[in-house]
Amino acid sequence: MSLLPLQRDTWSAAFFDAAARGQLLILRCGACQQFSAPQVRHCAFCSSGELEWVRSIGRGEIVTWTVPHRRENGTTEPAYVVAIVQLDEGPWIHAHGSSDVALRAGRPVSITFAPVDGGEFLPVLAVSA
Amino acid sequence: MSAAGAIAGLGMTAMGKVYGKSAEDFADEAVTRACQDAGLALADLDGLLVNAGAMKGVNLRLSKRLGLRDLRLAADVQSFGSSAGVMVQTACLAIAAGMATAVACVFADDPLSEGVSTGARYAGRSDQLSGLGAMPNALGLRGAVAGYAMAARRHMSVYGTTSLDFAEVAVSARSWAVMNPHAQMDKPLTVEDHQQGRMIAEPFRLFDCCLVSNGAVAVIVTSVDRARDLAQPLVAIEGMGQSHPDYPMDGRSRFGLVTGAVESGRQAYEMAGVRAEDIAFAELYDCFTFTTLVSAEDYGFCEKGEGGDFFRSGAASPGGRLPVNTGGGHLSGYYMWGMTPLSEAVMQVRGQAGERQVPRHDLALVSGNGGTFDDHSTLILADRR
Repeated sequence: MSLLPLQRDTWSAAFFDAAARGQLLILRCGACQQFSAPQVRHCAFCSSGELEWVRSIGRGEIVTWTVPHRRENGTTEPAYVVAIVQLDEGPWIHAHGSSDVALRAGRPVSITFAPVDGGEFLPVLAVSA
Repeated sequence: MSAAGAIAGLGMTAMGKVYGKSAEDFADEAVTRACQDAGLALADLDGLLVNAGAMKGVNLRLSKRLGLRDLRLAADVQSFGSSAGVMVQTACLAIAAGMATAVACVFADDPLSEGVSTGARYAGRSDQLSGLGAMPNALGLRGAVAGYAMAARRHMSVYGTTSLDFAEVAVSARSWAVMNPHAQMDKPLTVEDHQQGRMIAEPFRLFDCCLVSNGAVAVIVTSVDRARDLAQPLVAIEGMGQSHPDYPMDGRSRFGLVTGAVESGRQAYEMAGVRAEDIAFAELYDCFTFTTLVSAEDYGFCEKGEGGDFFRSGAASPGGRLPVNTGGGHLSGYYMWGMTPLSEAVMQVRGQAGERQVPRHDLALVSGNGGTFDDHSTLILADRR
């Protein structure tokens, strides 16, 4: 098991409605027009609370990542990848990936969404050739 | 400049796989020992600051158990790994303002249970995950190791830092721990041992990660004048700083590259009127090898990106020009959050560190780091006997 079920709350309802349609939403500030990551409640640039959901193109590049391992018969095996992606619009988003995805900083990736039993769709990495 | 206060007492319990006691039991013992160490009675305390560890097993009710009456300063403090520094700084401010005269600051935790894996206890709080703040956890970032691993990987990508650099940090810490009777790890470690350690979360292997410990550590903070009249050699607090950077989640973020140690250190150096070159030895919060490495860079002990070479040169090891984590730190000593670096610094400044005593111990830098590089504190301690 790697992805855990995540429940929506009031703030994230629009995000997860879009996620279920395969669309990534980020936030745009009505005061300064800058983009912020989905979990902020105040604009990351000017602290305004006047935020609106807008669609991201869903492409970006790898900033960093880790590969947690699981113990397997006295040794360990890569379990999966979790990466931070810098979207082309600027915000960062976490995404999950399969352990056979070879990553490097700056590698172009897209964000898609995977269904999770008992929870919302979650962002996963799609690696361009 | 005149000191902000003094560490007049230090109390430590047995630490590590010590079973059958609660966090509150450990905290009681540590505060009682710290008072005895200082030459104070529990009744002399008029301040109590309590920092509970991961299991949240102790809080201000400790004052009732200790029979403390008429406290003038009392609080639970939670700044995560920076808490020890934050408690000492808060105590100094209260003392300087005339609001208290003798403040006990204590950390206690009891994550280890006989026959239960620590991972299970740390991860065991599987509350339902809700909202975007919990999304990293749902995606697989569980426990501190994965977040720090991502920070380390970014440093590797940008500065060319390698796992062999991390190995040098682990080996240096162990070379001190083997001389420390309080340390949990007492066998030497080689770079090869480090490289053969099982992978936890790439790029971190087993010996990149801190220990887990049951136990408690307490210190008593007083004014310098008061401390001069007490039982122990004076440990003056000459510099203090904090930084809680809150990395933005966008391209401006220096997550993994630069930490709160830069700003926290700048404040502390300025208050003490000293520079990085003046520091005799450093006790750096080391939840992971990378934390030590990046902290050494950010405090100005080496150039940015050259943390690996700094440790490889032997500068931080026994006999080196800037001893670092002289008790083995969290990696090889004991894991008492920010009390690990603080307790070792107090013993060294006093000249009470036995076989591992550093020759020059007049000026120490102590760091605390919490969250995933979210919270940072710095103390500069001086021997002013």
